[in-house]
Amino acid sequence: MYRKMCDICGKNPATQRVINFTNTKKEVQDICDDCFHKRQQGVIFTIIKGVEKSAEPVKAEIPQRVCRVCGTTAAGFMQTGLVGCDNCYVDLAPEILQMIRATQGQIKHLGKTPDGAPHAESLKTEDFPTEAEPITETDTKRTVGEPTEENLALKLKKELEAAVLMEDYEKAIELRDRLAAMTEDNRNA
Amino acid sequence: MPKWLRDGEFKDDIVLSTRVRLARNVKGLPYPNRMTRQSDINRLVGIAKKTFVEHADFEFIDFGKITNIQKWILQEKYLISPQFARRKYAGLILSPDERLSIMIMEEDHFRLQGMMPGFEVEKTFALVDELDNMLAKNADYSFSQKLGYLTACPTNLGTGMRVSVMLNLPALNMTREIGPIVADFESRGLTCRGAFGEGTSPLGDLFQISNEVTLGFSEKEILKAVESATREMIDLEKKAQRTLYEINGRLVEDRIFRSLATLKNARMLSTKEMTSCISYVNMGISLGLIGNLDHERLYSLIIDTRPATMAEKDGKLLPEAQRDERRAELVRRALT
Repeated sequence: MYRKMCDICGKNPATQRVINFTNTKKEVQDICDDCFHKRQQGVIFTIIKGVEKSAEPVKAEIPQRVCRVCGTTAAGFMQTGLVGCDNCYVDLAPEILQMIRATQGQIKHLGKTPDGAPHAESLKTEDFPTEAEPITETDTKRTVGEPTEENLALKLKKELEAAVLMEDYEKAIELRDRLAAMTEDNRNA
Repeated sequence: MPKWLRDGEFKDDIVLSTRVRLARNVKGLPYPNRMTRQSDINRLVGIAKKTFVEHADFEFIDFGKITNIQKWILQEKYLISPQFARRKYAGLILSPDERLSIMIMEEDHFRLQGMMPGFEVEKTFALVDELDNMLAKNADYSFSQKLGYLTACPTNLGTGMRVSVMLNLPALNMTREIGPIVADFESRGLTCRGAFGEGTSPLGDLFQISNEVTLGFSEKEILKAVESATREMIDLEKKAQRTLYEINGRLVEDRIFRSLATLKNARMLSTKEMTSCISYVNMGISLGLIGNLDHERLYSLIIDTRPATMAEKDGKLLPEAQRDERRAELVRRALT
């Protein structure tokens, strides 16, 4: 079993994955509870302050997701580490995946199953519930009818995010190309 | 003496107990942190009662009806978590020998726990696995092919299983060798923490080894990892004990017999001093210096002299100042 150590102090095992966005780049760090706490107090990361000041370009990247069944928010989950129901695993998939990747061995269940059936060796990515419309609460208001192109793009973007986190690069490439094609169409229209 | 500790086989003088815990949830119901409807809680209690009280001779303890002291006692006996001891609803299912328990509405809908004296990873798992099979007949579990058993905290996903072994490590703690070993364990997906007390300053020399990773490995692999890490730790502790004794035999003997004398004669004993003395006496047994003390009696003192458990015996909770006196009395009586 492998455990990643903190990217900042290197002493404690990493428990959280922090993604810092600046205007120009994205930085991913796996850090321990202590450093996470210090970061919250603004001791280590000056970048965070920068983010707050120039909120506009970063806005789109801050997760606004909400579980449509129980109302748990992505921010709430990141604070408590707890999800509220089975559906959170669908609606809050990107945040949950970050936590799984930081704390678990791999994203593949190899243990017991409830029906006692032998475990399927080759699992498809489709088995993971992210596929079932990862749409946020604010989006649903507009997606009751036909999904607009903007929502479809948002959906694809979230799927892409999840696919990258799960290291399903084949799917990620496909999604990226679909997104690129959509943007191209918009420009031509 | 807690029931689960009775008739234990202590093969190594180092491991006190083994615990295996499984987290399970029922499909379609919000997890306890989001559950608001009494009918949902009743449904969970109903499933557990049907499985274990009607079809087995387990007991249901209603948390709405017992006192806080009674909950505290259950916590001191390691039958429930500190978090669960604060619950005002739902409850606990307990086997007649108290080695098996099911917490209803802890962090997850069900927490199935098996607790055995000594180093019994396989046996404890077999018992809990059986509980799980029984419950699965009446409960439709939340399960995903990819993520395994779904849990309120993603750190429990997959098998939902946490295996913990409690060990007494006086020599490794005294020589400060424990630090680097703990760091090495952590890099292997395992943790080793002080079993009592907070964070980095454990009370006495009691440590707990458990698996950190629950997803991506089978139950068998996790059990094996904890088991081999424990064996490794037992060997290291024994080696450290022998080295200490070879280098400074007189000092070691003095510590051990001074500790035994304290336990047998003290008129005031704090939990901290008692735990530390027990651990040196244990080391004396391990080194063959003390022969006629059994581990069961020694280990049960750790639980029997905790505040709420003492209160159960005395019928009232003693103020802190009087507890040390009462503790010393109980220890003296047990060892003479």
